[in-house]
Amino acid sequence: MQIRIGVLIVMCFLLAGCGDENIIEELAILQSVSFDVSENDQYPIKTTVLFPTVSKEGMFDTKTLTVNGKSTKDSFFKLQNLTNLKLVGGQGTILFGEELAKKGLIHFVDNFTRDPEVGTRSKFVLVQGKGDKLLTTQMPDVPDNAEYLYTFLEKVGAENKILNTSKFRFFRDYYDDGIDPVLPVFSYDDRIIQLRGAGIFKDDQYVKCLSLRETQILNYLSGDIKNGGLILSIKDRESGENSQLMLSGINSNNDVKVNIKNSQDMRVELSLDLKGSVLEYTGTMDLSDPENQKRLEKQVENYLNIHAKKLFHKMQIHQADPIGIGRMIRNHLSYDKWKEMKWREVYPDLNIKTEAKVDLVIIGKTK
Amino acid sequence: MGLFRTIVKKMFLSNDTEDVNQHSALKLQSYEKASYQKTLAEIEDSFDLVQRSFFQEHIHIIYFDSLVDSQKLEWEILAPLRKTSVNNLEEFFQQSLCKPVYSQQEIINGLLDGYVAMFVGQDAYLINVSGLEERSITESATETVINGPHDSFNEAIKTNVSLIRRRVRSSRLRMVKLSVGEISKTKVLLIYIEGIADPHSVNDLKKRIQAIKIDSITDSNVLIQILDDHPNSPFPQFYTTERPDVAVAKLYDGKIIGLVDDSPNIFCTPSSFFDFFKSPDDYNQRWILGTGLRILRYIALILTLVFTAFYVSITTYHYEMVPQSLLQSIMQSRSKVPFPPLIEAIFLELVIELLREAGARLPTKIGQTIGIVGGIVIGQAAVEAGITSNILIIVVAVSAIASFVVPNYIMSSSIRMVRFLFIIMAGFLGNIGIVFTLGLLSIHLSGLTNLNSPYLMPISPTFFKDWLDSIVRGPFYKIKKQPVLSKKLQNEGEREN
Repeated sequence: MQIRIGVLIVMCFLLAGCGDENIIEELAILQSVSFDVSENDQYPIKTTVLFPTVSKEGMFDTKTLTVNGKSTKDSFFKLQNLTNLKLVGGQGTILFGEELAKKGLIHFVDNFTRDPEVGTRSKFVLVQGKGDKLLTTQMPDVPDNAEYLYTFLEKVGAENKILNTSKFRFFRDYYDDGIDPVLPVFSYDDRIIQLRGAGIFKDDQYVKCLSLRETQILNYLSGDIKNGGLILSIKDRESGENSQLMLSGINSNNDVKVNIKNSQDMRVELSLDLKGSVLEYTGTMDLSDPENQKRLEKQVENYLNIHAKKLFHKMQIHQADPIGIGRMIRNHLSYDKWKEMKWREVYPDLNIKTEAKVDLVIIGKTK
Repeated sequence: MGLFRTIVKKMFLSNDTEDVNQHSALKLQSYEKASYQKTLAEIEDSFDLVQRSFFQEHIHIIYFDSLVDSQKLEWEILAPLRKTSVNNLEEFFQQSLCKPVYSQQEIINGLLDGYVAMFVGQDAYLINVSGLEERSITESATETVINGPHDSFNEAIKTNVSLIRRRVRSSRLRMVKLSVGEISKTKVLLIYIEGIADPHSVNDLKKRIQAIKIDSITDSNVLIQILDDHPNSPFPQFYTTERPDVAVAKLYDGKIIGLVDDSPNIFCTPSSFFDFFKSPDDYNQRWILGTGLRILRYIALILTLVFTAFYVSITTYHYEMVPQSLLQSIMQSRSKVPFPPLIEAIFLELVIELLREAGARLPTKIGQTIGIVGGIVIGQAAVEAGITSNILIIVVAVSAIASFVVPNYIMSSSIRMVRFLFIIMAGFLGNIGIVFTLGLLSIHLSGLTNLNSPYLMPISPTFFKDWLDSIVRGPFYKIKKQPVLSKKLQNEGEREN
């Protein structure tokens, strides 16, 4: 009896067979995919995929394929017919061309939330110009553009909290009330892959690329930073001299206070407590003097306040809210009141103030 | 149901007949009186049989030349006999180690144990002059330690007892002598320390050994397989060792150890799964190192079981789990291989098993050849010929090395056997197969018992205090003198008494 049951169990496993096997060398594991607007009206989306291939001799190479399709899944269906390997998704990077992102992304990336083949940690990136160009252009000293971009993104994500992108974060920010997604923007001019800054979104539409300086400040405004860096050029009001300052080892605390009297009169006060050490200072002040230190601290505070104000102004004009000011306000309101208030209309005129407090902990060895 | 009934009936029937047989045997024995002629008739045609007569056939002695110590024989029997006369025999019996014997069976048993049988008229006596050839005490070949005692048991039970006796200088050391095998009459000695060991277990084990019906046993490893609660499990349930220091440590833990004559391995019970992962080295080093080593062994256990299977499942099903940076090298190494990963892995595992088995069977003088052949054939040629991938070789080699980390050879072989199940299931069902098999394995392990004591002892059932000396090796000031359960049982026993 036992033997019979045993045989039955073994048979079950044998009958299960090896139906959905994915043997690794028979797969085209997508390292990178780019989506662009195509010239073809009937097939509006141009999809380019890049995957690694290994020849029978063990030579490693990458291969790119491009098709125009009606949707992302339509394109993948077409791509399956262009290769002898089985095309499967991976943990790679997904690139969007500038033009496509400006039209709004959600309608065709929405299927990624359902597709388990697109990992939640796969990275979303914006490209100035065409996404497929970044993948297909042969860059000097870069054997594999997709892998290069992936490690680039990992580095950027580690340095800037705001640019740490993933599929998960994009969709969370999009579907959440009172916050908009941010994606890093790359360019491929002069055959060099280069980080341009943070691309801010209004809902799913890409609106503006912030410069690297602005991105730096946005990073400090968006949350607590551990061991960050900051480069700024300051102008002394009294002497009128320009100097460069670099702070490193910055630990910053970020606190948002929301003051709501009624839906017309709302104030947001963002206080930034920044502790860092001076690494480079090109000015003439003697920093060993505590008086001068205080002056420098004041100057940095001024710089941060002014630039934060400018940045908020810019974001309010474009109606993009990457920091999630709306979310803070929402947390102070009942759900009905939040729904009643039209956030998109309130946001551009919102009174946002930044109060920076800078503490230079180490000024280094002088004299 | 019918099946069950017949089994029950058979059990009762066989019990009845057994009783009758034993009873009649006792009766027969008591009637058969020992005599010189009968003894000679029973053991005739033995090349090493010696019979001698003294004082005009007044005294006969019989012994096996191969079993007695000739010097002892000279001192104890021959010389005194020469000095005395027939009339002075009383004096002789007084000073020598004579033991009067009445039954024929006893005489035969004594002769076979190396005694000299002496017949004086109608009376029979046994005199102990046994001296068997034995191996000297050497270093253990299978269980080596770096620090600690280096002696090991040999095949002579008397020597083994002396090795234990001199480590336990206590009057509480108890020994139960039993005999197994209708023909071989192998001596089995159960040793325990009274007051620490659970008396119920001792009785239970005694009964079990007495109930064994078998012609012969050749080694303690045979005996424990007959005693096993679950003979069809791949895992060894009795811990065996040939190190006296380990044996004595088990005694102090409240366990019973069993010695089998002609076997250098002793067994101990009740033993748990985790006993097989202990080594005396753990105790002879600082506790932090000892704990580290223990944990290393459990990591090795998991590696051995799962590593190759994991490779198979990842390369066959779960490409998503491979990090981008590793993908390239895995694809490169797999690209030349024409077989699916499952076949490839089983092939290489088989080759490793062949190598291991060949290494164990070959005479040591040509044992090195195996290393060279294996190293070159597997290490290079197989990869260059495109039969296996580089990464798989690393994986298989790591899991083979990990399997040798397990201190007990029998346990390590069992684990290697079970590993094949993991690989096959990984090939069929991927990671689900691995997890499924892990589930099966833990169900099986937690169902096992050794002398009615659970196999996964300090984990299930859980005694956190005992974890300090099973999962890890805690500092000595923390380790309790006895495992919690053995103490509990002992207390219960005292209450009952």
